[in-house]
Amino acid sequence: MNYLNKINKINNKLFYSTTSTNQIKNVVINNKDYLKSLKTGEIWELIVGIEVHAQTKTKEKLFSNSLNIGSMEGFKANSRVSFVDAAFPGVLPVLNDKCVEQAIKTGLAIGGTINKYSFFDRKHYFYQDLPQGYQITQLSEPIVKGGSMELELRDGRQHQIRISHIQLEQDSGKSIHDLHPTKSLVDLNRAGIGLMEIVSHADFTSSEQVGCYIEKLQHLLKHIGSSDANMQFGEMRCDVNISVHKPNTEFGTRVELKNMISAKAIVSSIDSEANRQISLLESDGNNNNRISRETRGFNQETGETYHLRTKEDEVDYRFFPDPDLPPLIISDERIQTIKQQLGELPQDMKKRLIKQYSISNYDAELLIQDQSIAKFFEQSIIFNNNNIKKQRDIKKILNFLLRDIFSWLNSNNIQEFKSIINENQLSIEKFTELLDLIEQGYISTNIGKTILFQILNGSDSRSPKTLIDSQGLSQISDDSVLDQLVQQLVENHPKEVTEYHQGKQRVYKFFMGEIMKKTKGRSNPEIVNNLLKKYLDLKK
Amino acid sequence: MNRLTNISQIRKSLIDGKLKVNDLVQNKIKEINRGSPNRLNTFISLEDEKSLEKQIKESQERYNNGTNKRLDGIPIGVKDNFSSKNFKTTCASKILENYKPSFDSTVVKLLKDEGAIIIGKTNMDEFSMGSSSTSGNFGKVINPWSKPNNSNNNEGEVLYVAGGSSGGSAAAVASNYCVASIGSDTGGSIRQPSSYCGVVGFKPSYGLISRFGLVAYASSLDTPGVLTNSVEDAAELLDVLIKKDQENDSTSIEFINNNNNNNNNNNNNKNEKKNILNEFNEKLKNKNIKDLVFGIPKDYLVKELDTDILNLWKEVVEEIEKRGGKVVPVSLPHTRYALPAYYLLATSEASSNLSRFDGVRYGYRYEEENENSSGGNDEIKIGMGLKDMYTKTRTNGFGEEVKKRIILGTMALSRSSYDNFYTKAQKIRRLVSDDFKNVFQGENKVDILITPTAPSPAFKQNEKMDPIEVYVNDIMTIPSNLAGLPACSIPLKLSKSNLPISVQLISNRLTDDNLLFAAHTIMNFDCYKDFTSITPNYLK
Repeated sequence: MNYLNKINKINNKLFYSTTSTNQIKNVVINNKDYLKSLKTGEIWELIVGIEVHAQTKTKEKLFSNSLNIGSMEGFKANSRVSFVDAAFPGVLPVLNDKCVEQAIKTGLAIGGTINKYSFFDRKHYFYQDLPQGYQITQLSEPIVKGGSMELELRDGRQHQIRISHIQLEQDSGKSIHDLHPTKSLVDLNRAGIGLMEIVSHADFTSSEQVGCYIEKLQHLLKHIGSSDANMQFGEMRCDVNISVHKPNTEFGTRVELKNMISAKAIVSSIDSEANRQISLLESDGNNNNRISRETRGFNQETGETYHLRTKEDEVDYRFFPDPDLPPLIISDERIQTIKQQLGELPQDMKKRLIKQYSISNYDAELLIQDQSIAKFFEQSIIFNNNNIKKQRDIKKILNFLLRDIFSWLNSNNIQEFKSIINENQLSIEKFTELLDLIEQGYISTNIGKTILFQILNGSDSRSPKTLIDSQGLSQISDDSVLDQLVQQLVENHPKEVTEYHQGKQRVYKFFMGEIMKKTKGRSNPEIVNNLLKKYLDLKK
Repeated sequence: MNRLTNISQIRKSLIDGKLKVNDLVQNKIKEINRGSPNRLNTFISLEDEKSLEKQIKESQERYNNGTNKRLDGIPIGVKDNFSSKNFKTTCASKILENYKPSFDSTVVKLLKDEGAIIIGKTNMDEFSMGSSSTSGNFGKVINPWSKPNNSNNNEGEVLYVAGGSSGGSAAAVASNYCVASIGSDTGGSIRQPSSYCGVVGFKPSYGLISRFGLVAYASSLDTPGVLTNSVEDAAELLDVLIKKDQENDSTSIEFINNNNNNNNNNNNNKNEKKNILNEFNEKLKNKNIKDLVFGIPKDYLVKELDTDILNLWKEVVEEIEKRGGKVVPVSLPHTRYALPAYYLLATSEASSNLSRFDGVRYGYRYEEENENSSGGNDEIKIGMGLKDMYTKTRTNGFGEEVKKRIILGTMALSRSSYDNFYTKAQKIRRLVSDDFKNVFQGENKVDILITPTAPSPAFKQNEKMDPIEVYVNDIMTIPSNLAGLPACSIPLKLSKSNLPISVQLISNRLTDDNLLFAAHTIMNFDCYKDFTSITPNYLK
């Protein structure tokens, strides 16, 4: 995630749906979302349910000890495959307890109930990238039941999404159809990786809500560390069920959208599909038969959905409890322990930050985008503050963090704030030392910014003070030196002094600039200001 | 000739130097090929000569320098559904005819660790599906008790089946081709052939021996076990094989005290680990038949029961009572539902477990004949397509019985049949388990149930049999698989037609030590103790 994008997104309140090219428009009536057909003026209700597949952040796969490749690209095909992943005769699955822990964490974070007795089922179908001939998943007793998520919409309304359940299941391998003229190739590196399938109720009534939900869920998973949830790397994938109907009538026929690679694509695909369904229904006198139960894909270039397969073509999955795995029993103690380790959730953290530091909703939202930033922020207020005997200025910290550091991260295309926290770059010691040097007037805020970027660039790992001194950038705080400089300047420019007294403010800036030039920016602007005023007034 | 069949006797001779490992092993190989190569077709493949010579040499060296292990140099046959590293493991199926695993099953590994020499992989029914060891891709196993050509009547040679599915393992031990063998028991596959061939067949409590590397037929029923000439040998092998396999098998368990019979106040020995050999020896020393309560389930008196076997059953009861043992009639009312329930559950699991044999990653794959490939290599050949490849591979790779069971299981798990078949069968399984629980924990506190092993002695090869009639063969052995109980078949005498007949003993879960003790006690009654020293007719 791009840090500037983050800011933009929050400014825009996440996503605006792209209704401009569509023949439908989002409208809000009595606090509820509807779609209005621009052609007929009729009002439609949109119903969407989402299944999110998030890869568990674990070292090993769900039922084998081969390494999770996670988001790492460039691994040789079939280099992370055990006999279990490739379903050799006689091998048995052994549940990776870390995956269970991540699912419990996620369940607790969404306010769900942890199922103390769940089990695994087999879902059968034949495909070349499904080595066992079945996927191990959880159908009848999933590990988490219930939960919810509160969404904040861009017009300030709140919308609650109920979560049905979270199930643990295996990922399949990858089929590659375009590398050989007549053969399909199979890469099993992904086969057997643990997924949490987070299934929502059909509680979404606008595409904005869906975009908001996905962003928020993604953020939550990253925050609690249960998944890296990066959609580009396939660590998070979404299936969307969508239907439309006239208010106060029965729900419409559901169409499933699959294989979308970004939150943006999902939002666009919902708009496009809703548009398609409404056009179809309106062109046929609202005869629901025109929508068939099917699975569709989304073409990002044309912005349209396309037919993949009809539901009737689907095989009977012949679910039954996996006889190789005992029931998954989770104790109360374990749930409690994980609850305690979970720490503060993003929404709670946001509320607390606003209250504790009197910062704006906007700044708080930016801070909680990444737990490590929020942590850094809180640390920098109090770290070693015995030296200065007070809390540091929160406004100044936020300015550095959310403007300067964010823009630096962005222009250097760095994804993780965490990655710049190290000895050679930024540390809490260096950051607070820099803040304190500014506070003490040793350098100006502007020089502080220069030093900060030098630190971030990581070319010189010495302390801020050493960096300042070695470049002679400290403010000239010796008043007598400045006094002399200002006096001389005023003496040497009688013309400008006259102009100043005639009311030309711009000349004042000239004097300031001259001093800054002469002191190479190291003079304290406040002191210079006072001295200038003094000597200029003397010439009145 | 006084046959040296007992592990402890052989070990003693090897230690004393009276017997050399080479003579022991090479003699077995010679016997296997006496008359004609692999005369009884007990083995699918034999260990290659070089590897055998190397193992013999190493083993002899350990005896020479006194570092021999428990089973050092002991020739053991292993059923061909246990994976063995670099040693063909076919399950008697064309679909795995050239499959060489890259890893050892836990059972094979534990045997090798103790110095045992795996001389060959024994013949069986394809994927353990059958009761005659005649259905495999590598031909029929011949029962060593078959009637040779030169018998006095003018019938000529009459060949009998060895039973199944571990028919090769049973016939090999009965023929003294190996000292002991390993089998697997899903619905009687160790006990029934043991009964037909006249050896001891022991199926321990489900979970005590790891299934890792055992090619699955029906995971919740498959139980590795041993076939031996004596109960002592069974105890010795079980002691090597009973070990929790935490790493590879989540259904494998520790051998601990089953405290269901004890008061709750007595928590002292709860969950205490037991050693089966020590417990068995302890009982041999301190207990006698008067310490055991035997139960006779009248529900096993089926109309198909052979007269000789019925008489043996009665005789065993009389002999026990004569010696002061207590025998009580008991009721297992759901026994008659066990057979249909078993055939639904086992085939359901099989249909799932066998889906991995798809020709994609290992084993047999159907290849199109290159009739039309007149063009050069440049010509792009379009493959037959995935679905076609699956269909042709599985149609040609599996035998008739396997396909029949896959289809039955697929039906039982299908959406429209699941509730009526799979779910009902599971309920019956629970009822059958509860029947046993009631008997073992009821007022009589029954320790050991005595039943026939099979309704009849071995039947003739090529005897035209109704498939349902063949399934009925398993009627006595199936209930203990459904309940996961230890059960063992002990050969006691010959029928009027000179075929071995046996009884089956069943005990409560995790009381395998008690079962060994009871089996040993009965086999050593004066009237039965000489049975195992008789050499089968066909081998004379």
